[in-house]
Amino acid sequence: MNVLALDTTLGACSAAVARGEPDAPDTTGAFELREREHAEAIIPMIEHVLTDAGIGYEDLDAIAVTTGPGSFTGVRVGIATARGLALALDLPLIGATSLEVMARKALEKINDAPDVLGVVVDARRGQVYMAVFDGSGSTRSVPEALTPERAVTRLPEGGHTVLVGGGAELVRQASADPKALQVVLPDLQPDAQMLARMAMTRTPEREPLRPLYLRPPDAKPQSGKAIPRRD
Amino acid sequence: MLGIETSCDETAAAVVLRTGPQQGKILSNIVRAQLDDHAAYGGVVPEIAARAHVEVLDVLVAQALSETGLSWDELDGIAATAGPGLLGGVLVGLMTAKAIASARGLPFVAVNHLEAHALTPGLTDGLAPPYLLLLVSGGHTQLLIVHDLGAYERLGTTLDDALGEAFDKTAKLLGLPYPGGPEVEKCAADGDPSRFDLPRPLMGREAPDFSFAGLKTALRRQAEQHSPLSNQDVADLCASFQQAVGDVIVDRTATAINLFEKRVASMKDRNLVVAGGVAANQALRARLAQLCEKKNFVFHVPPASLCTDNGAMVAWAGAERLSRGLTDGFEFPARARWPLDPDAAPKIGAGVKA
Repeated sequence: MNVLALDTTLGACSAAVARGEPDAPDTTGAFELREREHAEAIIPMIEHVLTDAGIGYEDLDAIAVTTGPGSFTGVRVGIATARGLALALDLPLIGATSLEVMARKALEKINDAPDVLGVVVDARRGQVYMAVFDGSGSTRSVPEALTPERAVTRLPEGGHTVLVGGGAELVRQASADPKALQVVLPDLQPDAQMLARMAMTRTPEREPLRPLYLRPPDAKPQSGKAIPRRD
Repeated sequence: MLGIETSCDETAAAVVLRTGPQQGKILSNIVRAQLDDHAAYGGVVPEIAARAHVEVLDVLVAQALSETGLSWDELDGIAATAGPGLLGGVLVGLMTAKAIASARGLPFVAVNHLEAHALTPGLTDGLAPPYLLLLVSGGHTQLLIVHDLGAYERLGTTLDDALGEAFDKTAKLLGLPYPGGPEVEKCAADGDPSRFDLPRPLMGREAPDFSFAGLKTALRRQAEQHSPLSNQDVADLCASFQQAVGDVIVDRTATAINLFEKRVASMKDRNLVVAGGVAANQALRARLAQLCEKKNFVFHVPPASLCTDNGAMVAWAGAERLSRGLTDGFEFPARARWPLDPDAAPKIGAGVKA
């Protein structure tokens, strides 16, 4: 099985291929920190990774992509690219949230597995995107857009709690007992190489893959600008 | 050639066959408008538009291809609008096109949305450049000489609002439903165009530019004076607005025709093309047709479905570019502003519209 994975949701751009046995795949990937212009970088990066892996599009069995949360535009760049590839190659899609990919990456890097892992991204405008996992990477609370104060309430009491990601410090400071929370890997980003490995053991989506925005669009209904009408 | 268009509130995909210069045939042309998504807001909301594009575009592309009975390998290239337009939406079409082209090993062509409008008469009327183009839509109002593919000379542009925008704002002001252009035209048919005295901005000026902001303000003032408005008031306001706009368009286009005559040597090329969503307005078309008759120009208007945003024009422009070996790399960016005539000075009040 060969899976191509890509991520453009947050502050990085990455593409990777996983090959071989689902439980112990070989991976080839490219990763760069990047706040902007994911749309320019991602296709050349995918082509580069395929060349590095010594395979072509025709050798692929599935396309995996992070569905969000992240910047609205970044999320759509990834989904549009993945859906375009899947359409042109007649391949199934596999989606994973940016936060669960970050969680798996964090658990690999942290030596002592925590009891509770909060993956937190600064969502700006006074909010964070957060999901909570246990020490094995299983989801305990799904991704949400929350104020740091609300985010604290999503963390289970007791046990060794670790927060990772660019919004981790915001949540720690909003806690009544900041010392009880440990912040590590504040620069953590999603990575297609981890996503590709995760996708090897996942069942493809049956429904079209949709972005996970977590926030409504910025738009206010039109009101009261019209001149009054008599009839 | 497959063409993808997502720069505003229409999601569109089409396949066009090009058999030679100014010879083409539309094999499929799928457009999904998002009117209902934006109606409550009285205008296009960029983020809502982008979200809607990404939900349906791949389905429309699949449909556009399957209607032709062609396989991916029978296509010669993939084209998408890369700007100008609403970036969130443009990126959806651009990335879908890049992904397909990369996956199938096909040439990719990044198309300028304005160029797609500008070249449409080649597909619909077999018209070869040079010709004079009046491009009037919700996002643009320009007069251009189309000298050749890729060679455009801007004679005039709006300095503030686009004409379609002026129609939409008028409709909003008068409490008419969205989209406003067709509603204003409908109401104007029952109105007295001489009842309200509205300004004709920039009329008689040497450069064929446009300005609609002052007209909109004058309309608001007149409407406020007669508030609350009767149905007849609304009809008369719409008719007076459309009359003023028509006067301006005819005057500015006549000025551009004079410039075209001076700058284009061959006088057999006396063609005026009107493109863009506002070209659907019958009253304006009738007045431009009259002008052309008077000036001894041939008047061309693509069918309504090819005046508003569509994928066929993008596919056609892509095919024209590909026929000259003009293809683009996958690092091509989405461009909010992408003037057809890079030598023309930007107009501050018009922002990306000029």
